[in-house]
Formats: sequence, C-alpha cells, structure tokens
Amino acid sequence: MGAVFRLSLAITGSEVDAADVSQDAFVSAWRSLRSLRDPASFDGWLRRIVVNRARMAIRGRRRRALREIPTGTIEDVASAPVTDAAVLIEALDSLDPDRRTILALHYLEGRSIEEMAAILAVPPGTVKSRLFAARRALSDALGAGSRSS
Amino acid sequence: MNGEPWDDDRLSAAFESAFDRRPPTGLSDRTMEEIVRVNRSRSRRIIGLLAAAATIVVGVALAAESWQIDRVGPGPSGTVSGTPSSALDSPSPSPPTDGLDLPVIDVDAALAVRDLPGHSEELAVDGWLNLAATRGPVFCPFDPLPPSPLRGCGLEGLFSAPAGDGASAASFPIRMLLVRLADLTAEERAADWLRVVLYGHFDDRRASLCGEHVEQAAELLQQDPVELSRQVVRQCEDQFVVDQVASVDGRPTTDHFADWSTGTRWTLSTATASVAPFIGSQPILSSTAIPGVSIRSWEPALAADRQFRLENEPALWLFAVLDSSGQVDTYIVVDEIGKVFRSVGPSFERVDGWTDPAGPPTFTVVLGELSGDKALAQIWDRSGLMVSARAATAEDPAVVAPDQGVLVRKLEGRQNQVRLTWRGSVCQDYRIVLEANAALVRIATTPGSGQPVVCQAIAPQPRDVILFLRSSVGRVEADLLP
Repeated sequence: MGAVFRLSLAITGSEVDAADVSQDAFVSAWRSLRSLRDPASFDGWLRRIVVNRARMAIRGRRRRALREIPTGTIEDVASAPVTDAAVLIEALDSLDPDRRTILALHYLEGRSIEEMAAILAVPPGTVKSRLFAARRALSDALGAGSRSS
Repeated sequence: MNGEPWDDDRLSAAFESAFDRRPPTGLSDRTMEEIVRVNRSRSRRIIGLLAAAATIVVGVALAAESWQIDRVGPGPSGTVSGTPSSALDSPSPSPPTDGLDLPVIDVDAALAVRDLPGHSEELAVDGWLNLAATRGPVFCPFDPLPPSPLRGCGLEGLFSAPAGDGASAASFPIRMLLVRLADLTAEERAADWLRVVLYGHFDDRRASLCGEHVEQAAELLQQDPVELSRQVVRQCEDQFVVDQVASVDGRPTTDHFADWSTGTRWTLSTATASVAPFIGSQPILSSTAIPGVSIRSWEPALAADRQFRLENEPALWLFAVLDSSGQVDTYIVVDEIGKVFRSVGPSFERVDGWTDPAGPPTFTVVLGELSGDKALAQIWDRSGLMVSARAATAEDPAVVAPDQGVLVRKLEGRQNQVRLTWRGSVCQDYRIVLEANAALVRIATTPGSGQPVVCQAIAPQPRDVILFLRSSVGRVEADLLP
C-alpha cells in the first residue's frame, strides 16, 4: 500500500487524490483479478492500474476545479528552509500528468525502460523519448523555480 | 537549496524526500471494506473465480507491496485472506442478469477491466447512451461504408451517468457492429440519454486495423495524420464492441437482429437453422444480414481472403455467439448456399465440412445485342466444375415460353457442356448458382431486381447460356427462381 500511495502522490500531487487512487487501484485489481494470467506480472499490472487511476483522478480534479493545500506544506513558509523536495514539488506541479508519471516511475520507483514500457503500454523507444522530454521540462521548471526563489 | 546541478542522484533523492509519506491512517482498512462490498455485489460465478485466485493475489500483493501489517493495526493480511472466504460462504444478492450468467458491472469497473492486459472476455455493462449525439451528422473515420448512427460511430460512448451542462462522467467508446437499438418507445427515441445494459468486449480481434484508414480520414478531415492518429486511433483501439443491447431502460430486449442486407433469399430462421449444428447450446447474442461486398466493414481480414471470396456473395448472415470460455465467436453463413465459417483469432475457418473449389469464383456472360456490353448473367460456381461460360451463338431450336422456367440440356456428344435456356426481361440481370455433388448438378437461376420501366414494357427475350465444365456430369437440374 505504501509504494502505491507514494506513486499516486507523485503523479497527482494531492494526498487526498493519492488515497482515493490507492484504494481504487486495489479494488480494481481485486475485481479484475481473473484477467491476470501471470501472477509474476502482478507488480507491473498493478502499477498500470495505479497510473490510469491517477490520470483519471487528475482529470476529475480539473473538472472540480479545486486546489488542495498538502498538509505537509502547511508551515510558516517564511521561516521554512527551501529544500530540494519543496522545489521539486513546485516544479512537478507545472508539468502535465504524463510527464509526472514517467518521472515518478523513473526517479521514485527506479523503474527500467522496459518496466515502464510495460506499465505504460508503449514501446521502449517511446518511453525513452518521453523520459527525455520530461527530464527537459523538469529541468526548465526547476530552473524557473530556482530563479523565483 | 544548494547550487549544485540537478543530476539524477539529486533528483532521485529529492523524489524520495518529497514523497516519503505514509498512507493516511485507516486507508488499508477502508480498502479492505470496499473489496468486501464489491465482492458482495458480484455474481456467485465471479466470486467463485475470485476465490480460486484469492490466495495468489493476496500472496503476491503482500510480497509486491510490503503491506505494513504493524502500521495499520488489526492485521490486514488476515483480513484480506479471510474476507473473501466469508463472503463466499454468506448468501449475497446477485445483480440482474438475463440468464447468460454475466454479472452486470458499471462503466468504472469496465474501464478497470479495459486497462488490464488480456481482457477480451464478454462483459455486461450498465451505462448511458447519448442519443442526442446520433442526431447530427456523423463521420466514421475507419469505416469505408457511409456512416450510419445505428452502426455505432455516431454513438460516442457508454457513460456512467448522463453528462451535460458542465457535468461529466466516465465513459468509453463503443462500436455497435452486429446490433442496433431496437424496440424503443417513442419517448425513448426522443430522449437525449438512454440507460442500457450492453453485452460486449474490449480487446477486439479487429483492433489492430484501427489505423488502416487514418490517412484517408485525415485527408477528409483536413487534419495532420499524426495528430489524428493520436486522437482517434487510440480511441478506436480502446473501443468496446457491443454484441447485444441486453436491456433498455431496465426492460430486457428481445429483438437482436439487424438487417443491413439488400436482399437475402433466406429468412433469419433458415440461416439460424444452418448455423445451429455448429454452435450447439451456445447462445446467439445477436445476428445480422449484410451484402457480401460489405464484409470488409465487419470482418476486414476476410475481405482480402482469396480463399473464401465472401465479397462475391450477394448476402451473408453473421452471428455473434458466446462460447463456453466467455469469449464471443463470429459465425458467417452464406445466404442461400449454407456455407458456414467461424472466427478463429484474427481469421476464419470453414466448419461445414465442405471445401471451396479452386479457380475463379464467378463468370459473367453478355446476353444478346439488346444488353449492349452489360453482362446480364452472373454465374457463381459452387461446384468447382466450371471452366468458362458464354452466350450461345447458334440459334436454339428449343425456345421456352416465359412460364416454363429454365430449360437445361446436356449437349449431344459434348457431355461437359450444359445449355441453359429461359426467357427474361431485356434489361434484367440474372444470377446463376451452380452446385454439384457426385450425382447431381443443381443450377438455380435468379433474376435481379430494379429494372427500368421501359425495359418491362418490352416482351421477354430468349436467354441462352452454355456452361463449360471440366468433365462430363451426371444428372443436371435447374430452376428459374422467382
């Protein structure tokens, strides 16, 4: 549950959505268990459900037009030191869900290109190009964040 | 924040630090409660399947997710493994089904199934159709035939709830190939949204062909092919192929036949009787009749199949049959002839025990000067005996009257030639079907339809055709069908 929650959080950027996504993902996996023909592939299979559910949650959040303030950031902003984690969260917030997803799978979960290809259901070459583009977008966002801070 | 570059190590550490959060207290318990609730709402059949797999998933889930038993209090592993069994033991209400033993699931659950690998099993999904979307002009980018709302591309999807006025709902694209919306009341036809239960499946065997016409579609839509591919090819691949509209507004439907043909000779009951020996007790979800030339729209793989040549058939019957493994097979019956084919993966096999003859499938014959260059006799050879056909050049001593039907003779000294003579309208085309077994050659001659009035005013003309066969034949019968 912990790993699923962390991945959901990295993609959605919201603890509330991450909790919903985690629960939905496990329930969906349970419901659809008969489709899992190879138990050894459970890990990637579950991650694919998580990624899809997280994308749906983001789409739903756009419709709700709500913005959540993560509990972890409710602090005295003026006195809090600017950490790498805080800068990263702010930078990720400016990226689209697909880029957050591939960055989370790579940096947070340490997934290989092949594993990401299986999870995202795209060819490895597509994963490479998407990861390259996502890294560049993140680098730009981190640069912008550094300048503003 | 330090001024070091954001290399991979620093990014990994930042990710780890940023998202090193524990799940909210009680999330695992709530998840388990939801799984229990889901189990209770599912049919006994599915629960049985889940129970068989429960041990596997719990074990794998625990190993894969390092489920933190000590974090969440009362042992989730015991709850996980114990709950499904207790759910199985307790009586649970079953969702409505129509006797096919398919549990009815909602759109969200169907989406979850779609997102999994290997998910072509038949589903029964409860949702909403947007009928309003079918009333405007529609475009079917992957369909070489003219668009038709009843064929499905006007129906943009099945929704979890009526959407509109800023509201939205989960949905997936659907395609209604063999089915139509039947038995609608006037009120239902006028409604914008219609609640239905659809039988169908994802991961259809034809999904790999979704991108086939994308360039043509892009040209028509004046869009970039690459962009169009991103937009609609994926949607096509993800579509839910509907095999039956099982209920409308909570009311079970009874009419599951859609007639798209322009003239079948058989009735539905005759065609069904032809396929019955091959499907046994497996239920027919829906059926349709189509012109043979349109087979590429339903079964693209068959259009290019030179062996079966179904495009040359005047009419075909298609049946969607639920097999014992929960998958849908398509059976094709050739109208009037009774050849039966069954889908096997992406292709088809003939199952009626006959083999198709080699050689060209059809022969055309120009009949008389009045017809100009138009071939007024089309000959379909089912026998494998024919090598050619032509209009008789010598005057025929035996001229038949219009009400005498067709005269068939084996020519003296030329036992491999059969002469057909009848009288027919000057403009009307005729279809001659030749079948044979060891003892008998059977020939059916059928007039086409739709001749101009001026042609009908001219007296019937003699029709005289000679069929050249590979070898001499035994008895020959012929009929001029109405």
